[in-house]
Amino acid sequence: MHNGGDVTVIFDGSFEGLLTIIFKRYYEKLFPTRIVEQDLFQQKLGELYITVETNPEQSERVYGAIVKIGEIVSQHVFRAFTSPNPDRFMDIFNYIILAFEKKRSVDNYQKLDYVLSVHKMSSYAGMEVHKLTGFVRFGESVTGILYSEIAPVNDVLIMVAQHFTDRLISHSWIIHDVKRKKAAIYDTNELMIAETNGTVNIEFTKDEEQYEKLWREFLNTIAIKERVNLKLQQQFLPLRYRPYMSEFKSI
Amino acid sequence: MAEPSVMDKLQILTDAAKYDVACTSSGVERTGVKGAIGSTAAAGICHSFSADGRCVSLLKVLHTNICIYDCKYCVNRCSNDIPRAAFTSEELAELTINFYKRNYIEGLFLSSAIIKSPTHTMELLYRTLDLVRNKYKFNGYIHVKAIPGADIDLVKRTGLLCDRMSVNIELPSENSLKLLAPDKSKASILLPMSTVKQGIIQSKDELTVYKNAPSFVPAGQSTQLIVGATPENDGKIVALAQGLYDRFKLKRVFYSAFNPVPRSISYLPTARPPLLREHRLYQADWLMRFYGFRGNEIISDENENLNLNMDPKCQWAINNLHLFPVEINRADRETLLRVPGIGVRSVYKIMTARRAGNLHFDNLKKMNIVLKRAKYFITCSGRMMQPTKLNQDYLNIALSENKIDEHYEQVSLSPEMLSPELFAKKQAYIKEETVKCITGEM
Repeated sequence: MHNGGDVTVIFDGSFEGLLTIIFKRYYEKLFPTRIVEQDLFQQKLGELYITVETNPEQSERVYGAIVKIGEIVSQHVFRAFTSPNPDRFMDIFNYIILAFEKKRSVDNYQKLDYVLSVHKMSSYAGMEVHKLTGFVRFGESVTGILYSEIAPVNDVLIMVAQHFTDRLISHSWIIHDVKRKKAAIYDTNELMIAETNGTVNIEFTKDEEQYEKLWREFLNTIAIKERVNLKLQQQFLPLRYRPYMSEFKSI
Repeated sequence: MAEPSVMDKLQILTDAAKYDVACTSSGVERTGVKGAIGSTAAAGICHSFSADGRCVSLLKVLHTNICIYDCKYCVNRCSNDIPRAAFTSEELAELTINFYKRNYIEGLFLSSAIIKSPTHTMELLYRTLDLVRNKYKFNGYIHVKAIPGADIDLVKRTGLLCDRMSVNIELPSENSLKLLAPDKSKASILLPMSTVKQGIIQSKDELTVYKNAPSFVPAGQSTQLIVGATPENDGKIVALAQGLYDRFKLKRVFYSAFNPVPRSISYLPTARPPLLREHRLYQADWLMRFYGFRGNEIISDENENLNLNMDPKCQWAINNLHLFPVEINRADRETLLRVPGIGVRSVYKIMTARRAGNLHFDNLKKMNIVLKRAKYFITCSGRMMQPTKLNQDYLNIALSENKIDEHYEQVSLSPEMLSPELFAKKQAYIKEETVKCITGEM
């Protein structure tokens, strides 16, 4: 079926889809030179392409194999996949193939461009998760549910939510990724991911406004006027996070 | 007089606490507990950044700013005419929990002015922590001040409720302390410090035997001192910090550039805070804590200051040129850590990447390893990036930052550093060196 020559693979863009392609490399001799998400595919002149359907069984087997290599390697794969870069699939594909051969020492091969690229995407996403664990702002609704909105560059909602399953273990809360229209919902027991239509109507408690005011007052006061350095502040706290943070809400 | 609102109190008591530098929430990892609220992360988490670019991680307030002491450098001194207020324990607990569950903060940083007596103040802090921890079931991060002169037993009990404790050493010498903080003495500051140190050691021993033994100040203790209010030089401050790390096993020493206090006495400086000096001290501090340097390697003379024009590691390298260049593909960790411009992360990257084959400058660049300073001190497979001589005069010029912008304004710069003659000389020297490099006359 596949001749092993130059071929572009298009797939649905899901993580399972990518794992299916890896399965087919080993069992159906499919050697892609380019991997593109279906919706973004534009055929180049004379380009051969095939479409790979996501296969849950096959992707499950590849998934198990990746996890077996080790925590650091699988974390790099998961995190790199959250990147918004449309060309990431081929790099991740190559990285996983090399990881099957070299096992954990795959991370030493930073001289290879695709390993380095996976590392960079992974650390960028990891950094964003870490930042968001601090920058998420909850508001308390009248029903006692804590609600927050985010719009991260990388698709890191699950990783951010996992942090809060531990921290706010006895509260119910929702973190809503308004950019990707999905939400992480925690009911003091279980974490679920649900699709949304991007807007949610929440009625906040009366205290909410008061605490936001107190918080803004605190931040205004804590800054030492002789040392104001807005550039430095923006380096650490980029503007893209601010629309969702109560302290930067314009009143 | 009407009781001020929580908003007023927060404003007054935050304003009074803002000069405290520490706002770290790192050093202890604790998972959440069902029925309680909160966890801690070993790396610490910044929740916001204030307009001065400082990380805001903890709710940093004073319990009260009503003070019996009259420390000249402090805004809260009793002779200063400012509005005074005090939180009740309940108000503080409510604020902490409500800020925490909205994810505004990582925890509480509670300090206090001295109300009535040191022991009374410590008791106040203890009671509030007890309420926050045990009644409000707060499991997040707490940093508390130990009050010099307070009952030692009380300090010990408070240590079991918090994650980090700190005693501010305030000024770098006993003499300065006498002059500016007549109510504090070196002995009264060092006593709680050594108590905390003993407590930490003892608690660690117990924890190795009994899994559920209570942990005492698990994130360690820190201190803070003011730079630029008194005449001590950097050499003295670095030596002091080294001593504190050695003797009291401190986690951190914080330095705070002195901010002129309004309506203060005449012998305190009124110039802008020496921010660049503070920055250099922090760089030296990092070298001691993470890079295996000893204080006396960084600056050996107590009466000298750090070079403002160059970071202390560059300065050290220039003074020790016989140890360079370092071969990237062979050198051990300790040696790599001492190369200017290469940090802990870069060393880690280099050490893993070179297992898979020799590295070249191209590889280093792609791995985001900064070569701006390092290129003068390293070789890859025996070659330097550009042929340069390891020459003190040349490196002094090449590595000089000459960076004086508005945020790093400094009054004490020597005028020759900025003179046009020196600039011309520098240009000429670089040109001459370049010609030599091209003609191979090394």
